[in-house]
Amino acid sequence: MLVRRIPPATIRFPDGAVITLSRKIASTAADVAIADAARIAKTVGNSSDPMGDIEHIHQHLDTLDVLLKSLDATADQLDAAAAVLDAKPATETGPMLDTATLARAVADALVAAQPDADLSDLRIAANTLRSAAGELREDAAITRNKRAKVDAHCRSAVAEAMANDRADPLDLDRSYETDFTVPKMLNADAIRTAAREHLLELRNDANAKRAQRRTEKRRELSAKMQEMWR
Amino acid sequence: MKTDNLLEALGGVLKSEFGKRDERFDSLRKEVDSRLSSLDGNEVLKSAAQAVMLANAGALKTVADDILLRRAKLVSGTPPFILQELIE
Repeated sequence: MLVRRIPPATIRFPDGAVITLSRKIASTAADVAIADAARIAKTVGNSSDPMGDIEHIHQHLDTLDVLLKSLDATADQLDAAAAVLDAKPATETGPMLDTATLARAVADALVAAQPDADLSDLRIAANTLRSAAGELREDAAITRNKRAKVDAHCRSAVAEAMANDRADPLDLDRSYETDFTVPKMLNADAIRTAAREHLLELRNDANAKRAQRRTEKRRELSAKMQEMWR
Repeated sequence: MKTDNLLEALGGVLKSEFGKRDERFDSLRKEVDSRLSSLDGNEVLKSAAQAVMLANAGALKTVADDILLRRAKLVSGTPPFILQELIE
């Protein structure tokens, strides 16, 4: 019989690893990346291998980029296959599209021979394809937000590593992004000082915010108390 | 002799077994013949088309179902660090 076996949707990583695609895999991996990058950002200042730590968490960003690309590409394929099953045009190509085209062509022939032919299985398949595509797009959106958090942790980890005496700030500056302007003179000490100033600023900001929250809470509380006593 | 008795018994069993199988085969062939003669060419084509449509739509649905219902699995290689705990 004329049936095309379709391989399951997979993600291929540059180092050769291949995994099957599943909904929520990318956003869950992003959770792991956030936790790991946050941990490294806290510890890299005293790490014995700061360069290794920094490279390790930046690889998470690369992994997430591969995942995001695969999610988008697969969602496009699923949507296009669903469109073809519904007899709508699609511009994608691939095994799923070939199979969808064949199924639709046979369905059209069937309807020509028997106008009341039952095409409900075709509709069910199309709906399943569309909902899988929707899940993947939703997961991609969530993963994009989480990737931004990983990126923020990576940037502050680089600043911490630049402030660490065991790392080479010049080397770090050549390879990674930071949140502050790195002095453009080729001087390790200058970069280190700038990194320390940046971190100090961050900490002061965080403390200021915390203090502000505290005063706000106190004001709220006293307002409530006055309300009660009135 | 013991072996003679044994062979005789075995022969008997095999003989009746073959006989039964022939009977079954004959009845099956008769049934298939009667069905074939009652088939309408148009119906054959339609049901063949239906089968091709179902099989191909089913193959597509399987891909989508795997994404929706199954956990991610390792096919080959070593997965990146952040995926290692998440896949089987």
